[in-house]
Amino acid sequence: MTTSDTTPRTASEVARAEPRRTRPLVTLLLVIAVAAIAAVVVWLIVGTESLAEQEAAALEELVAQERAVLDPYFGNADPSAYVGMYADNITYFDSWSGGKLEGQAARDYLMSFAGTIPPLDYEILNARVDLYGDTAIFTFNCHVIDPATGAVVTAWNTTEVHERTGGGWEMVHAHWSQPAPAE
Amino acid sequence: MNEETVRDELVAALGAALVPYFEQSDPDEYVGLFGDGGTYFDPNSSGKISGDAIVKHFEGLRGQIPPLDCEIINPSVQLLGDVAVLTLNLNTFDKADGSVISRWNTTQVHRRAGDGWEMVHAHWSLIPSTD
Repeated sequence: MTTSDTTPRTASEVARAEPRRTRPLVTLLLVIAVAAIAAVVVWLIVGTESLAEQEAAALEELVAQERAVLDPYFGNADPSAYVGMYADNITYFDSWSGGKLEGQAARDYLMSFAGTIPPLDYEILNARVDLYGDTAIFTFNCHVIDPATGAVVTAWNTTEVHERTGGGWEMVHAHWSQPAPAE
Repeated sequence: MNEETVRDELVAALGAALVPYFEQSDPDEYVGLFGDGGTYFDPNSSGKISGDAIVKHFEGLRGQIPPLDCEIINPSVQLLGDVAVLTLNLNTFDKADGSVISRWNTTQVHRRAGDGWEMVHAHWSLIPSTD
Protein backbone atom coordinates (compact mmCIF):
# COMPACT_ATOMS: atom_id res chain seq x y z
CA MET A 1 0.00 0.00 0.00
CA THR A 2 1.16 3.50 -0.76
CA THR A 3 0.38 6.69 1.21
CA SER A 4 -2.19 7.55 -1.46
CA ASP A 5 -4.28 4.67 -0.21
CA THR A 6 -5.08 6.63 2.98
CA THR A 7 -6.59 9.61 1.14
CA PRO A 8 -10.36 9.71 0.43
CA ARG A 9 -11.29 8.42 -2.97
CA THR A 10 -15.01 9.02 -3.30
CA ALA A 11 -16.71 12.40 -3.54
CA SER A 12 -18.34 11.93 -0.15
CA GLU A 13 -15.02 11.04 1.40
CA VAL A 14 -13.48 14.17 -0.12
CA ALA A 15 -16.39 16.30 1.18
CA ARG A 16 -16.01 14.88 4.68
CA ALA A 17 -12.25 15.39 4.61
CA GLU A 18 -12.46 19.02 3.33
CA PRO A 19 -13.58 20.63 6.65
CA ARG A 20 -10.61 19.08 8.44
CA ARG A 21 -8.27 20.68 5.93
CA THR A 22 -10.00 24.12 6.01
CA ARG A 23 -10.51 24.30 9.78
CA PRO A 24 -7.15 26.00 10.43
CA LEU A 25 -7.91 28.53 7.68
CA VAL A 26 -11.38 29.26 9.08
CA THR A 27 -9.92 29.64 12.55
CA LEU A 28 -7.28 32.01 11.23
CA LEU A 29 -9.93 34.09 9.43
CA LEU A 30 -12.04 34.21 12.59
CA VAL A 31 -9.05 35.37 14.62
CA ILE A 32 -8.30 38.06 12.05
CA ALA A 33 -11.95 39.18 12.01
CA VAL A 34 -12.14 39.36 15.81
CA ALA A 35 -8.85 41.24 15.95
CA ALA A 36 -10.06 43.70 13.30
CA ILE A 37 -13.34 44.31 15.17
CA ALA A 38 -11.42 44.79 18.42
CA ALA A 39 -9.07 47.25 16.71
CA VAL A 40 -12.02 49.26 15.35
CA VAL A 41 -13.68 49.34 18.78
CA VAL A 42 -10.44 50.48 20.44
CA TRP A 43 -9.92 53.08 17.70
CA LEU A 44 -13.47 54.40 18.18
CA ILE A 45 -13.06 54.65 21.95
CA VAL A 46 -9.61 56.21 21.82
CA GLY A 47 -10.64 58.49 18.95
CA THR A 48 -13.74 59.71 20.83
CA GLU A 49 -11.75 60.37 23.97
CA SER A 50 -9.17 62.15 21.90
CA LEU A 51 -11.75 64.52 20.40
CA ALA A 52 -13.23 65.16 23.85
CA GLU A 53 -9.77 65.90 25.17
CA GLN A 54 -9.04 68.22 22.25
CA GLU A 55 -12.33 70.06 22.80
CA ALA A 56 -11.62 70.40 26.51
CA ALA A 57 -8.17 71.82 25.77
CA ALA A 58 -9.57 74.21 23.15
CA LEU A 59 -12.29 75.32 25.57
CA GLU A 60 -9.69 76.13 28.22
CA GLU A 61 -7.61 78.10 25.70
CA LEU A 62 -10.55 80.01 24.26
CA VAL A 63 -12.06 80.90 27.65
CA ALA A 64 -8.65 82.20 28.77
CA GLN A 65 -8.30 84.17 25.52
CA GLU A 66 -11.82 85.57 25.90
CA ARG A 67 -11.13 86.72 29.45
CA ALA A 68 -7.90 88.35 28.31
CA VAL A 69 -9.77 90.45 25.74
CA LEU A 70 -12.96 91.12 27.73
CA ASP A 71 -11.11 92.32 30.84
CA PRO A 72 -9.89 95.51 29.10
CA TYR A 73 -13.13 95.83 27.13
CA PHE A 74 -15.48 95.85 30.11
CA GLY A 75 -12.94 97.10 32.67
CA ASN A 76 -11.44 100.01 30.70
CA ALA A 77 -13.68 100.43 27.63
CA ASP A 78 -10.76 99.26 25.50
CA PRO A 79 -11.87 97.04 22.58
CA SER A 80 -8.42 96.82 20.95
CA ALA A 81 -7.60 93.38 22.36
CA TYR A 82 -10.96 91.99 21.24
CA VAL A 83 -10.47 93.46 17.77
CA GLY A 84 -6.97 91.98 17.81
CA MET A 85 -8.50 88.50 17.61
CA TYR A 86 -10.20 89.30 14.29
CA ALA A 87 -9.13 87.55 11.10
CA ASP A 88 -8.86 89.74 8.01
CA ASN A 89 -12.18 88.42 6.72
CA ILE A 90 -14.05 88.69 10.05
CA THR A 91 -17.85 88.80 9.93
CA TYR A 92 -19.66 90.31 12.90
CA PHE A 93 -23.17 90.81 14.28
CA ASP A 94 -24.46 92.39 17.43
CA SER A 95 -27.69 94.08 18.50
CA TRP A 96 -26.54 97.53 17.36
CA SER A 97 -24.38 96.69 14.34
CA GLY A 98 -27.30 97.28 11.96
CA GLY A 99 -26.81 93.93 10.24
CA LYS A 100 -23.65 92.15 9.15
CA LEU A 101 -20.28 93.90 9.28
CA GLU A 102 -17.20 92.57 7.52
CA GLY A 103 -13.47 93.17 7.68
CA GLN A 104 -12.42 96.74 8.44
CA ALA A 105 -16.02 97.86 9.03
CA ALA A 106 -16.24 95.35 11.89
CA ARG A 107 -12.97 96.68 13.35
CA ASP A 108 -14.03 100.31 13.07
CA TYR A 109 -17.42 99.53 14.60
CA LEU A 110 -16.07 97.94 17.75
CA MET A 111 -13.30 100.50 18.14
CA SER A 112 -16.01 103.19 18.16
CA PHE A 113 -16.92 101.95 21.66
CA ALA A 114 -13.47 102.88 23.02
CA GLY A 115 -13.86 105.03 26.10
CA THR A 116 -17.64 104.93 26.03
CA ILE A 117 -18.38 102.01 28.37
CA PRO A 118 -18.50 102.47 32.15
CA PRO A 119 -16.46 99.93 34.16
CA LEU A 120 -18.38 96.67 34.32
CA ASP A 121 -17.86 93.17 35.61
CA TYR A 122 -18.82 90.15 33.54
CA GLU A 123 -19.29 86.43 33.85
CA ILE A 124 -18.88 83.75 31.16
CA LEU A 125 -21.47 80.96 31.52
CA ASN A 126 -22.24 77.68 29.73
CA ALA A 127 -19.08 77.86 27.63
CA ARG A 128 -18.70 75.07 25.08
CA VAL A 129 -16.41 74.29 22.19
CA ASP A 130 -17.33 72.06 19.26
CA LEU A 131 -14.22 71.26 17.27
CA TYR A 132 -14.26 70.41 13.56
CA GLY A 133 -10.70 70.01 12.37
CA ASP A 134 -8.98 73.32 13.03
CA THR A 135 -12.27 75.18 13.43
CA ALA A 136 -13.76 75.80 16.87
CA ILE A 137 -17.36 76.83 17.41
CA PHE A 138 -17.19 78.62 20.77
CA THR A 139 -20.58 79.36 22.33
CA PHE A 140 -21.37 80.86 25.70
CA ASN A 141 -23.61 83.23 27.60
CA CYS A 142 -22.09 86.39 29.02
CA HIS A 143 -23.66 88.32 31.88
CA VAL A 144 -22.49 91.91 32.19
CA ILE A 145 -22.75 93.09 35.79
CA ASP A 146 -22.91 96.50 37.43
CA PRO A 147 -20.05 96.34 39.97
CA ALA A 148 -21.85 98.78 42.26
CA THR A 149 -25.05 96.76 42.66
CA GLY A 150 -24.16 93.31 41.33
CA ALA A 151 -27.16 93.46 39.03
CA VAL A 152 -26.98 91.91 35.58
CA VAL A 153 -27.04 94.84 33.17
CA THR A 154 -27.03 92.81 29.95
CA ALA A 155 -27.26 89.10 29.19
CA TRP A 156 -25.69 87.99 25.94
CA ASN A 157 -25.93 84.91 23.74
CA THR A 158 -22.55 84.63 22.05
CA THR A 159 -21.24 82.62 19.11
CA GLU A 160 -17.63 82.92 18.05
CA VAL A 161 -16.01 80.85 15.31
CA HIS A 162 -12.25 80.56 15.62
CA GLU A 163 -9.65 79.00 13.37
CA ARG A 164 -6.49 77.49 14.81
CA THR A 165 -3.35 79.26 13.67
CA GLY A 166 0.28 78.63 14.44
CA GLY A 167 0.14 80.97 17.41
CA GLY A 168 -3.30 80.22 18.83
CA TRP A 169 -6.80 81.07 17.66
CA GLU A 170 -8.04 83.67 15.18
CA MET A 171 -11.68 84.76 15.18
CA VAL A 172 -13.43 84.58 11.82
CA HIS A 173 -16.97 85.28 13.04
CA ALA A 174 -18.73 86.67 16.11
CA HIS A 175 -22.42 87.06 16.89
CA TRP A 176 -23.50 88.71 20.14
CA SER A 177 -27.24 88.98 20.80
CA GLN A 178 -29.62 89.62 23.63
CA PRO A 179 -32.42 87.26 24.59
CA ALA A 180 -35.97 88.56 24.37
CA PRO A 181 -37.03 90.37 27.56
CA ALA A 182 -38.90 88.16 29.99
CA GLU A 183 -42.64 88.72 29.74
CA MET B 1 -15.68 74.10 -4.39
CA ASN B 2 -15.40 77.81 -3.64
CA GLU B 3 -17.21 80.05 -1.16
CA GLU B 4 -19.68 81.36 -3.73
CA THR B 5 -20.70 77.86 -4.77
CA VAL B 6 -21.17 76.77 -1.17
CA ARG B 7 -23.07 79.98 -0.38
CA ASP B 8 -25.51 79.34 -3.22
CA GLU B 9 -25.97 75.71 -2.12
CA LEU B 10 -26.60 76.62 1.52
CA VAL B 11 -28.87 79.56 0.72
CA ALA B 12 -30.96 77.32 -1.55
CA ALA B 13 -31.30 74.75 1.26
CA LEU B 14 -32.16 77.44 3.80
CA GLY B 15 -34.66 79.09 1.49
CA ALA B 16 -36.37 75.75 0.87
CA ALA B 17 -36.60 75.13 4.63
CA LEU B 18 -37.89 78.62 5.43
CA VAL B 19 -40.81 78.57 2.99
CA PRO B 20 -42.84 76.01 5.00
CA TYR B 21 -41.59 77.59 8.24
CA PHE B 22 -42.78 81.11 7.51
CA GLU B 23 -45.71 80.32 5.20
CA GLN B 24 -47.22 77.38 7.10
CA SER B 25 -45.54 77.56 10.50
CA ASP B 26 -44.02 74.13 9.81
CA PRO B 27 -40.49 73.83 11.24
CA ASP B 28 -39.78 70.25 10.12
CA GLU B 29 -37.54 71.12 7.17
CA TYR B 30 -35.55 73.66 9.14
CA VAL B 31 -35.03 71.24 12.04
CA GLY B 32 -34.01 68.66 9.43
CA LEU B 33 -30.98 70.78 8.53
CA PHE B 34 -29.43 70.07 11.95
CA GLY B 35 -26.94 67.29 12.46
CA ASP B 36 -26.60 65.41 15.73
CA GLY B 37 -25.20 67.49 18.55
CA GLY B 38 -25.98 70.86 17.01
CA THR B 39 -26.30 73.97 19.18
CA TYR B 40 -28.78 76.82 18.79
CA PHE B 41 -29.54 80.34 20.03
CA ASP B 42 -32.47 82.60 19.34
CA PRO B 43 -34.10 85.37 21.37
CA ASN B 44 -36.60 82.94 22.90
CA SER B 45 -34.44 79.85 23.32
CA SER B 46 -33.57 80.68 26.95
CA GLY B 47 -29.88 80.67 26.18
CA LYS B 48 -28.06 77.93 24.35
CA ILE B 49 -29.87 74.69 23.56
CA SER B 50 -28.77 71.52 21.83
CA GLY B 51 -29.97 68.11 20.66
CA ASP B 52 -33.54 67.21 21.60
CA ALA B 53 -34.08 70.64 23.16
CA ILE B 54 -33.79 72.16 19.65
CA VAL B 55 -36.49 69.82 18.34
CA LYS B 56 -38.71 70.63 21.33
CA HIS B 57 -38.12 74.37 20.91
CA PHE B 58 -39.21 74.34 17.27
CA GLU B 59 -42.08 71.98 17.97
CA GLY B 60 -43.38 74.65 20.35
CA LEU B 61 -43.44 77.11 17.44
CA ARG B 62 -45.45 74.83 15.12
CA GLY B 63 -48.66 76.54 14.08
CA GLN B 64 -47.79 79.68 16.03
CA ILE B 65 -46.39 81.82 13.21
CA PRO B 66 -48.75 83.80 10.97
CA PRO B 67 -48.10 83.48 7.22
CA LEU B 68 -45.05 85.57 6.33
CA ASP B 69 -42.84 86.20 3.36
CA CYS B 70 -39.10 86.39 3.88
CA GLU B 71 -36.09 87.78 2.08
CA ILE B 72 -32.49 86.65 2.54
CA ILE B 73 -30.10 89.61 2.35
CA ASN B 74 -26.34 89.76 1.85
CA PRO B 75 -25.50 86.09 2.43
CA SER B 76 -21.86 85.07 2.49
CA VAL B 77 -19.85 81.97 3.36
CA GLN B 78 -16.47 81.65 5.01
CA LEU B 79 -15.08 78.23 4.14
CA LEU B 80 -12.74 76.66 6.71
CA GLY B 81 -11.84 73.19 5.45
CA ASP B 82 -15.01 71.11 5.75
CA VAL B 83 -16.77 73.81 7.76
CA ALA B 84 -18.86 76.59 6.20
CA VAL B 85 -19.92 79.65 8.17
CA LEU B 86 -23.01 81.13 6.52
CA THR B 87 -23.98 84.62 7.64
CA LEU B 88 -26.89 86.70 6.39
CA ASN B 89 -29.61 89.11 7.27
CA LEU B 90 -33.23 88.19 6.80
CA ASN B 91 -36.38 90.25 6.75
CA THR B 92 -39.89 88.90 7.21
CA PHE B 93 -42.92 90.61 5.73
CA ASP B 94 -46.64 90.58 6.36
CA LYS B 95 -48.12 88.68 3.43
CA ALA B 96 -51.16 90.95 3.41
CA ASP B 97 -49.59 94.41 3.23
CA GLY B 98 -45.86 93.78 2.67
CA SER B 99 -44.80 95.61 5.81
CA VAL B 100 -41.61 94.49 7.55
CA ILE B 101 -42.43 92.35 10.59
CA SER B 102 -38.91 91.48 11.78
CA ARG B 103 -35.26 91.88 10.81
CA TRP B 104 -32.77 89.17 11.73
CA ASN B 105 -29.04 88.60 12.03
CA THR B 106 -28.35 84.96 11.22
CA THR B 107 -25.32 82.73 11.70
CA GLN B 108 -25.37 79.11 10.57
CA VAL B 109 -22.35 76.83 10.79
CA HIS B 110 -22.42 73.76 8.59
CA ARG B 111 -20.07 70.86 8.15
CA ARG B 112 -19.58 68.72 5.10
CA ALA B 113 -21.51 65.44 5.43
CA GLY B 114 -21.16 63.14 2.44
CA ASP B 115 -22.32 65.01 -0.64
CA GLY B 116 -24.18 67.62 1.38
CA TRP B 117 -24.03 69.73 4.51
CA GLU B 118 -25.42 69.37 8.00
CA MET B 119 -25.95 72.30 10.34
CA VAL B 120 -24.00 72.13 13.59
CA HIS B 121 -24.85 75.56 14.97
CA ALA B 122 -27.35 78.34 14.35
CA HIS B 123 -27.79 81.72 15.99
CA TRP B 124 -30.73 83.96 15.11
CA SER B 125 -31.11 87.39 16.69
CA LEU B 126 -33.45 90.30 16.11
CA ILE B 127 -32.21 93.64 14.87
CA PRO B 128 -33.95 96.16 17.11
CA SER B 129 -36.36 98.51 15.40
CA THR B 130 -34.97 102.01 15.02
CA ASP B 131 -38.42 103.55 15.37
